[in-house]
Amino acid sequence: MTSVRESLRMLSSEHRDVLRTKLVDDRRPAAEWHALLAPLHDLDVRADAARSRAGKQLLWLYVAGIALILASLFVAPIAALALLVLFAIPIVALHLQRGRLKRLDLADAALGLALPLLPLLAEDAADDAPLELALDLRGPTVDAKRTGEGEPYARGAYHRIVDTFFADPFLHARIRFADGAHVRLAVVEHVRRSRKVKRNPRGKTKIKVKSKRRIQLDVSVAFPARNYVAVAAPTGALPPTDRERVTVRDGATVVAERRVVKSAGAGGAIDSGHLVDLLARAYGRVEPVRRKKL
Amino acid sequence: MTTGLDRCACKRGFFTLRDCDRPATTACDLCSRRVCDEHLAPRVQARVCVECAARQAEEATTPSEPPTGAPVVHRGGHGPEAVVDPEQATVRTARYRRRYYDDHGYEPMWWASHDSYWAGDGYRWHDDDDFDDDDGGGFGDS
Repeated sequence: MTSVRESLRMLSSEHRDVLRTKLVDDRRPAAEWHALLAPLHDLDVRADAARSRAGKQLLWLYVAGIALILASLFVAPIAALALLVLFAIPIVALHLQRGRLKRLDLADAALGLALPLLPLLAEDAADDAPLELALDLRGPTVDAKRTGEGEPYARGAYHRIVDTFFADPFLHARIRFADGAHVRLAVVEHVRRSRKVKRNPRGKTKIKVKSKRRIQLDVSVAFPARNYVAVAAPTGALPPTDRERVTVRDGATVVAERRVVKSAGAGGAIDSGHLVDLLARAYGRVEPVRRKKL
Repeated sequence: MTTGLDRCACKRGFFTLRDCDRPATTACDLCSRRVCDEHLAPRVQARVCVECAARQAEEATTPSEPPTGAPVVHRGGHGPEAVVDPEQATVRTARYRRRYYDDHGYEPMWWASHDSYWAGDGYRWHDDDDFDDDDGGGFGDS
């Protein structure tokens, strides 16, 4: 918790605004975006670690507390009361601490995807071109992102399953590269959260909540005709993407690439290598039409 | 475009490569090219450019191809790491660039002047026999 306090003290008022709203939408150079997001990422990593530690401490306190209180009931009931108070104080304190840390939590997927990409985008960005970046750091399963709820159904041992669906367009970015290419990145996380209810042979009701996620990553690059022309077959050894479209319009070759990543859980980190691959694949669909020193 | 003789020889870019063009301040001990402060890797007893530092670092790591010699097929999972310290961004990006080119066979677009340092690496450029070389280095500003 000390390191979290230190990280919090280092934050500017702009950082604190982002922590409060958990939304980012602005235009600025990629290097400036890095200066804004890196301290928030550092704080988020520390806060996650502190929350995890507090959770483990709580588990131990509950187990040790219940065991000691039950044992002392047989020896001296008054001692059980004293132990109850003794264990209740740190348990309440840890719950409050976890609540405070939870409020600092930022979506790992959005921050973990954007931050590693910024130095790469800064390398290729045109000197005068800002990066337009919109990030939603609230996480995929907040109420505002709920898109619907399915009808209850039964499957196997579960007599009632209700699926709730969420759509989280958490990253959108646009930038102009030094070679004149206009790059657009968009990432949407779709989550299906299933609440399953079953009754075991002893008549006890058991509830399980499981989430599945599908992350759709889209990259679109408009290559200026003065520098590039489309090629029939992609160059390079990069594996094919899930969808690829090459169109020529308004004096530009537009290459759109899509990859869909599926996993269990919701809101976890996503490898930024997917977006690097999509951009590299888009560049594999064109070749230069002239020699020029940019 | 900046003109002048003593310019940094390192290349900027990831998907495309172009000249850095910042004023050079020193020479790399390994490749002898003139480089700017930003493209100097943090070393205590040597002056090494970020491109040489990246090559050294990647040569020192275990090759990522299996013993069978079959090419590694990547489907994500190999993205750059988040860099918290902005001063580390250039050197870490140069290293990731080198690794990405080697592992994925990606050939960047070449929009820079000729540089024999990159002669052994794959890159793409407009190869036209009728091209009128008016830039001295093969890249005329048309």
